Amino acid sequence: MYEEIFDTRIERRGMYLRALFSEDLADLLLRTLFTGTSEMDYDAVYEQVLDDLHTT
Amino acid sequence: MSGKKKIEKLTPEQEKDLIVFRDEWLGHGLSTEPADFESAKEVITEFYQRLGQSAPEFYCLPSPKACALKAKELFNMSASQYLSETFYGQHESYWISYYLFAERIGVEYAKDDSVLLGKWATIAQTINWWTPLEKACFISDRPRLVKFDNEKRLHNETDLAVKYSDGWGTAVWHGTRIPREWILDKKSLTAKTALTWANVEQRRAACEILGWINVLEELKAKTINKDEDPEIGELLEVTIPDIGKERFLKVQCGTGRTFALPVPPTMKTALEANAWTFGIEDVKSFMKPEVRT
Repeated sequence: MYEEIFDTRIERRGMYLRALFSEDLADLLLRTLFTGTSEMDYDAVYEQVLDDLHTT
Repeated sequence: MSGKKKIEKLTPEQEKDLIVFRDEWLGHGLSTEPADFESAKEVITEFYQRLGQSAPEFYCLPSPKACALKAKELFNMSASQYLSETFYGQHESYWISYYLFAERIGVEYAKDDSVLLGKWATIAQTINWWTPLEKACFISDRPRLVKFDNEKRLHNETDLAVKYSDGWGTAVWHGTRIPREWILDKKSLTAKTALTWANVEQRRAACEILGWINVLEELKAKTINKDEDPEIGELLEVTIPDIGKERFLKVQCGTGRTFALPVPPTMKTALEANAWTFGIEDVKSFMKPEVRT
């Protein structure tokens, strides 16, 4: 089920944005949105789930 | 796909909008509001239906750990297996906002792509992690607490840095994940534990939590050199298990607080070490700092 749902994500359907923007604009958008909205470091949560369930 | 004309730059209005839009989506990514499970369930059910499946049994639980435990109980799934099939809900705001903004400035998607992107956006705006299995779907509530330091690294000195409504979460010290008890039961952390901890990043965090000054006291540091001025300080040496001899400058700041800083083992005097903390190698050119805070 995961894979099938994953395939509904827009980039998995062949929509890649970088080619639609000038290089500067693509960098600006990636930096501002792609990186700028990923502040939450969920690796810590991921690793904690793994640790806790391995010791449960 | 239509609308392939290349966009060269943003208009001034779009530039302003980009910042507002980024903040809005960062807000979704970091939201600690209770999840809107019903809206998410509706969208997830539509995903299942698109794939010719009926709606799954939903398990809406307080945290990713609670979800993983339930999956283990019901389907005997290991944590790794469970997490490999997990989406990150609000934590996928980064790619969703990127694609949404592109649409906002004129990129045209095929209608179905646009509709699906909207569904992913709804999920990011409503829930934390979710895991769609064949007949069941686990959805986690959003955390109730997310705290950062001023460099935007996860960090909390008094509680978990990420905490869910069931109390579960993770302790993080300036971006380094640490055992929860180091924060929640500070007495459990001793200098010996800190200094012999295998993971070096965690060891550094442990010493900072305890305060280097306390670690040095416990290790019975030897005085190498002591300046008469407490604001220049005292050069100390300790033997750290598995590491060897290390030197520290114990110094009083302008506000009267005493603390300790690690300095290179080549330091011979407190003055030299103090100068080094200011990036000055030539101790002769070093003037005593007027205020250290």
